[in-house]
Amino acid sequence: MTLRVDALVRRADFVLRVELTVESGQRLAIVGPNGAGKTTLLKCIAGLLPVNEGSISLDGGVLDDADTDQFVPPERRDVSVVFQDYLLFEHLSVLENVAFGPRARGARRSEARERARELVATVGLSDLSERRARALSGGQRQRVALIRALATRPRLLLLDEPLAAIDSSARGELRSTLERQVEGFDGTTLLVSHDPADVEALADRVIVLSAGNVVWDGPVSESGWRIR
Amino acid sequence: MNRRHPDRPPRAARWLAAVTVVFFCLPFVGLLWKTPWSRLLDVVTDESGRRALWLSMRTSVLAALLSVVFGVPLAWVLATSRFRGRNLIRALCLISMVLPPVVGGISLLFSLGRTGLIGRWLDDWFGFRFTFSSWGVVVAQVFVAMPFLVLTVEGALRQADTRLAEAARTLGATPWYAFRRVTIPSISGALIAGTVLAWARAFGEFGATITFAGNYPGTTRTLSIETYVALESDPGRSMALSVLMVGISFVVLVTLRDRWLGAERSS
Repeated sequence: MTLRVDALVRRADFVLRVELTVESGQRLAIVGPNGAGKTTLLKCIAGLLPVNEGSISLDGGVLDDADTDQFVPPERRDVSVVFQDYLLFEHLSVLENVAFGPRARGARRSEARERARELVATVGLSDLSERRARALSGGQRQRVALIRALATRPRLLLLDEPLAAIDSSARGELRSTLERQVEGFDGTTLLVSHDPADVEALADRVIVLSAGNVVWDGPVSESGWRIR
Repeated sequence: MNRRHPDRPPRAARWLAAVTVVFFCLPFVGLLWKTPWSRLLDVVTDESGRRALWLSMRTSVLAALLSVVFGVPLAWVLATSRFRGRNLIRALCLISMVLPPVVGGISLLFSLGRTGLIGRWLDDWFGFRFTFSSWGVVVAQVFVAMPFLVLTVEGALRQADTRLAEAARTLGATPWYAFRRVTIPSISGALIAGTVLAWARAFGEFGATITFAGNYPGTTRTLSIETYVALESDPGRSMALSVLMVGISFVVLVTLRDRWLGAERSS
């Protein structure tokens, strides 16, 4: 599941220029100041924003290619996202949120709910599975967002500041849950974070983005001050 | 002296508001005062009244449903797409809302009527005429009522968080699926309000209907036409019919408001 990005994206206030290969199973952290283009990069990979030049491919299959005008829509990319503010479907229950992906991909209702029930149990939310998303606490929302993203068995998991909205007191425990889930996930992971502790727990490799360019690329062990 | 709430409107505004309330209530007081109450049951049980009531119910509910089926996609396109002439198209689709209904009826007559642009072919090829047909009533009602739904739903779709639909897409939802399961539930209050408005407008429709579809008992004589016709021959009957219409509209608006719009506000 090798991800290749060689693309240029023009936004109102900056130009993102990225050339990047992420090997199958690798866990990559993307760090850098606000406005460096981290979220833009995730959106392009997820298919929520087309690139202006160049291409993105996964396992050799083109996802987006500006030159040949190919564009795979997000629903056919097998790329899941945990959004910074989670974007849970507030009118649905925990179980329905998690079952949403499998259902959208054509699984039968009972099948999708079974899959959702297993995942809900792995993050200790079984007691809340019938509760509406709007009635959950921040930490519970985070866990639902995570398993909702994993429920479709994606090839690529994108985590956009997954713990930024969490109180610092609860962050440590949620980080362990997240680490366990990412550990058990057999695809490739991309993490955007400002928190060095997240990067150390959830990534093997780091790239530093600044003003739309990759300015450093290397293993977590050598990243040192760059992620602080 | 009571302690004043800081955002209480000034005295002059409250007086003007009170005058407005009186203005809206007075006609109903007059109607209720003059109505021969003993005849209220007659108008819903006699042949002519029953047929008109049943016709109005059928056609207005169908018109509201058709407004949803065609109006929601239109609202979706108008709210999310940018193309040249979008504002012109919106104006054309909503103009019937501010047009005198009789003008709408005349326009329909010369397009879909028996001698109209398209109506002539419908007649020649299929022997189908909207004139004196209940379908004509439905078309007239949809023509004047759908804009209320489109306007309400388009406004809500502009306010809706498009990122929720994006999240649904990354989970494997097609645009239709995301719209149906995520966007629509997030604007359900506005959709219901728009549907009720469209239904109420269709239920009360008079001018376009009588101009386009005619006034034929059983097929095109709706409750509002029946009421108008009765005014000349039997004013008491017309008042009883009016009270009936006020009652139906009032009950629908109040129950749906409490059930849906109230719930939305509190969440």
